[in-house]
Amino acid sequence: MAPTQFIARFAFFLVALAMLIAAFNIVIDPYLVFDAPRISGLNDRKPSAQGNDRKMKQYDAVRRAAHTLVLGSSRIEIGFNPQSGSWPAQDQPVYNLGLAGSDPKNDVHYLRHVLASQMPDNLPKSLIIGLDFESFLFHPSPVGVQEEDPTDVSSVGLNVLANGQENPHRTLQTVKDFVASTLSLDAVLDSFSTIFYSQNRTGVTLDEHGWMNESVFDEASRANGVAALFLQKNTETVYQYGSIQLNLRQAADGSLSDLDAIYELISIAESIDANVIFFVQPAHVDRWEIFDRLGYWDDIERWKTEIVKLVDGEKNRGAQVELWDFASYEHFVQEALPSDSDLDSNLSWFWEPAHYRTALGDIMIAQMREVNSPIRFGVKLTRDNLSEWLLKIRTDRDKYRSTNPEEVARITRVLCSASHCSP
Amino acid sequence: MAFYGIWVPFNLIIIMLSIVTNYIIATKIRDCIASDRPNEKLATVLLTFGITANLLFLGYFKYMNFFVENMNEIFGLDLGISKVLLPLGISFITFQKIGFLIDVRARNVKQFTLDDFFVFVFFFPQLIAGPIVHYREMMPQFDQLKTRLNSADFVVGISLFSLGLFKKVILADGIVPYVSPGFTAAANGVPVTFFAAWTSALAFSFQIYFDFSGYTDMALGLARMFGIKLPMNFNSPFKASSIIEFWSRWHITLTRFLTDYLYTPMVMKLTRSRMRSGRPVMGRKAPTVTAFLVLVFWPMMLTMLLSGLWHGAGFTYILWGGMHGALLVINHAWREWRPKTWDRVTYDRVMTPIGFFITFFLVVFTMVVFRAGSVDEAVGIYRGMLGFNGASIPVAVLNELGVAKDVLLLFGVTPDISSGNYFVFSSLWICGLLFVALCAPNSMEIMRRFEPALYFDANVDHGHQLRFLASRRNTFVFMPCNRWAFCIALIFLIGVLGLSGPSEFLYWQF
Repeated sequence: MAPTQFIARFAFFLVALAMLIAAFNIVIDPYLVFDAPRISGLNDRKPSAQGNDRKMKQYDAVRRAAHTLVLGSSRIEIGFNPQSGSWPAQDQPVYNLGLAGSDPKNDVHYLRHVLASQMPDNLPKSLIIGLDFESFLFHPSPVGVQEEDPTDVSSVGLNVLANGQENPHRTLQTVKDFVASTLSLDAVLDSFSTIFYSQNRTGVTLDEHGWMNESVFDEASRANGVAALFLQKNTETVYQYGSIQLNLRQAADGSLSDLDAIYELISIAESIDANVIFFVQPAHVDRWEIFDRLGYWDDIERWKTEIVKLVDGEKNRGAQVELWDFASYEHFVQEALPSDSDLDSNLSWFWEPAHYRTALGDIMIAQMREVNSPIRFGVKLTRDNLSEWLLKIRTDRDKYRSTNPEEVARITRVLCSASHCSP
Repeated sequence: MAFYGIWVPFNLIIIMLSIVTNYIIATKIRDCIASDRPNEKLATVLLTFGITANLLFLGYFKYMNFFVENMNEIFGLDLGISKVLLPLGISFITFQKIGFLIDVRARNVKQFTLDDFFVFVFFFPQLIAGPIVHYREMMPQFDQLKTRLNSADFVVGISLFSLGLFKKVILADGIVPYVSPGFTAAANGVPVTFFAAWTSALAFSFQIYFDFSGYTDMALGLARMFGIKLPMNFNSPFKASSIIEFWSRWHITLTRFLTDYLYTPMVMKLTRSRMRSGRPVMGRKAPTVTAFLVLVFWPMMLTMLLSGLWHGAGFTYILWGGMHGALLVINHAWREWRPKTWDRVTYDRVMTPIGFFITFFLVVFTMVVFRAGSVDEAVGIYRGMLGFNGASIPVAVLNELGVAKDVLLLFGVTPDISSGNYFVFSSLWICGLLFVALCAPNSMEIMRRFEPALYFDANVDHGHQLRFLASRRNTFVFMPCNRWAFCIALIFLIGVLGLSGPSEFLYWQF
C-alpha cells in the first residue's frame, strides 16, 4: 500500500471510529448528560454515579420538577429513597439532591442551580436538608479559614457561581462536559460498565429520582462482613478527627460563624414559598463514642444549641422552618455488631457507623413528615426542649456504656490502634 | 522556539542566551584548532570554560535550592530559597550543548552556523526529555531534507507516535492510582505491609517504564514525521539479564553520553597514568583488585552518582545513582572473576534466567528510592518489601481464596480492612504490564522494516521471553495495509480519548 493511501485509510478509520464511539456514548449516556432514554438491560442502571454524582445531578436535577427536594451528604443520597412509601402523597414527586461530601454551602449552590432553571410553577414546595456535625469542623490552621473562591472551578458547570451570580463559564463547561461524555476513554469504559450492570441488574446506580441505591455498601458488607466495615470506618474516623483537633469556627461575639449557609437556605426557601426541615443526621453509637473520646462532645452540643437558636429565631420571624435531631443514643443506633467472621449478617439500620440504611431513612421521613406511625425516633427540637433532650442523650450514653462494656472496650481498641488511647 | 517559549516565555530568553554563549565558545574553539598552527591548549581551556559555564548554568537552576537548603540545615543558616522556575528540559539541553562543545574540540564537528545550532537545540520533538542527540548525527539529516513532509516518513512517524501515546496515556497513567498509597503511607510514618509495599514499588516501576518508553516513541515518531530519525533510546530494559545490559537498554543516549564524555575519558586517563608508572591495568586476564578499584569502581561510582544527581536535586537521586553504580561494579566484578568452568552456551542457558530475575528485582528495588520524596520514605517502603512490617491481604480477598486462605494464614499473612477491589485491580495491572514489558514486541521491533531509529539493527534478536510470541513475531511487524491502518487509528484514538484525565510526563521534570 502506498504511504498516501495508508494515510487516507488511517484518517478514515480514525474519523469513523470516533463517530462510532461518540454515538455509542450518547446512546448509553453513562453520566446522564444527554438524558438518553433508560432502556432496561441496556442503560437503565448508572454505575458511574459513584464518584460522578455531582456532574450527573447537575444535569439530571434540572430536568425533574420535584415537589420535594432532599439535600445533604452521601448519607442522604443513599439513605433517603424518594420512592419510599413513607413520603406522604402531597410530597411527591421527591428528588434526592444529596451529594457525596456535600455541606450546607454546597447545598445552597446546588439548590440555586436547580431553581435557576425551573419554571415558576415547577418550584419545590418542601426542602428537607440533612446536617452533618462533621461538615462544620475546620482545621485550626490558617489554611482552614481561607475564603472560598466564588469562581471555584469545581463547580463551573452550575448555572450560578457560589456567590449566586450567573455563571459566565457555564456554556464553555457544558461544551467540555459534552465532549468528555462523548469522546473520552472514561466515557467509553463507563458506557461498557453501564451495559454490564444493566444486564446483570447489580451494582451501584442512580435512579431517576436522584437516589443512589445501597449496592456499594451491600456488596462491601457481603465481601468483608459488617464488623470489618465498622472497623474500617471507625479507624478512619479516629485518624480524621483525632490527628488534629478540629474546630467549630467562632465569630468575635462567641457565636458560630459558619451558619450563614443555613440562613441562606431558609432565605431561598422563603423566596419560593417553600417550607424547610433541617435535621441532624443519625449515626451509629460507635461514631458518637469516638467523637466523645476525641473530645468533641461539648462541640456537638454547642453546635446543636446554636442551630436551634437560629431556627427558632427564623421561625419567630415567620419563616416556615423546623429542626429535627436524630443524633441520639436511641435503640436504633445501638445495634450490636455481628462477629468478625460473620459475612452474612447485617444490621437493620446501619451499613457502617456513618451511613444508615433506607429502612432508618424511612422512619426519619415518617417522623419529619408526621405520617401516622407507631415508631418514635428523634425529636423536633426547639429552644423549649433542647436542654431536656441533650440531657437525655447524655443519660442514654452513660446507660449504654454501663450496659455494654464489651462494645466500649472495642471502641477503646480502635482508638488505641490509632494511638488515641483515652484515659 | 515557539513550542519551548509558549509556557514560560522568560525561559526562552534564558536558553537563547545560553545558546549564543555556547555558539561563541564553539566558534572560538573551532578557530583555535582550524588554523595551520592550532592552539590546542587554548582550545582545551575554552572547552573547560564552556563545560564549566554550562554546568554552573544547570547548577544554578537545578541545584541551587538543594544546596541552600542543605547549607541551612547543616550550618543553621537562614539563606533564602529562590523561586526560580526550572526551565523545561534544561538537563537534556545542557548535556547536548556540552556534547556539542566536546565534539567541536575533538574535530568531530567542523562546520556549523548559528542557525544550525538553533535548529539542533530547538528541534522540538526531543527538546524536553531527549533522546540526547549529537550534532553530528542530526545536522546531516536536516541538510538532506528535501521537503518538510514526506508521506513515507509520516506513516512511520504517526505509527510510532500512536504507539507511544497509547503506552503513556493508557499503560503508564493507568497504573498511577496504585503508586501513591504505599509511598504516601511511608511518608506519613505509617507501616507499609509486604504486599502494599511491593504493589507501590512495582506500580511505580511500570509507570516510569511506560512513561519513558511512551515518551521516547512519541519523540521518535514526531521527529520522523518531519523526516528526522532520532537515536534509539529505549529497548525493553526489563528484558535485561544483567544490570550492565539494563543500562544498554534504558535511556540509551544518556548511557552513551556518560560513557563517551565522562566514564571512558576518565578510565583512559587513569589507565594511561597507571601504564606510565608500570602498574597493572585492565586486560584479558583477571585484573588485580587495585586495578579494578581504580579503573572500574571509582569511575563507575562517580559516573553513576553524577547520573543520579543529573536526574534530580535530592539525596534520593544521588542514592539511586550510587545503588546503580554499586550494582554495575558488582556486575563487572562478576564478569572478571566468576568461575569459568562452564562453556559459553551452558553459562548463558543457566545464568540468563537467573540474571533476569536478579536484575528485575534490583531495578524495582532501586526504583523505590528514585520515587520516594525522602530517604526515610524509601526506608519505609523497603521495610515493607523485606517483610519487617508483616504481610496482610484485604479480608474480602482472603475470604475468596478457599484453601489458599489457610495456607496464607499459616505463613503469617493476616487479614486487613483495606479495599479488596484495590488489591485485585492493582495485581491485575501489574501482571498485565509485566506481560507487556517482557513478552510483547517493542515499538522498534514492530516498526523494524522501516528503520524506526538510528542505530536500531533489525537483524539483532532483541529478546522475547516467550517462544510462542517469538514464533509469531511477523504478526506484530508493521506493514502499510488496511489492518495496520485500522490498528494504528484505533490505538491513536484510544490514546487521544485517554487524554481527558490529568497526565504528566515523569521525565519532563529531569
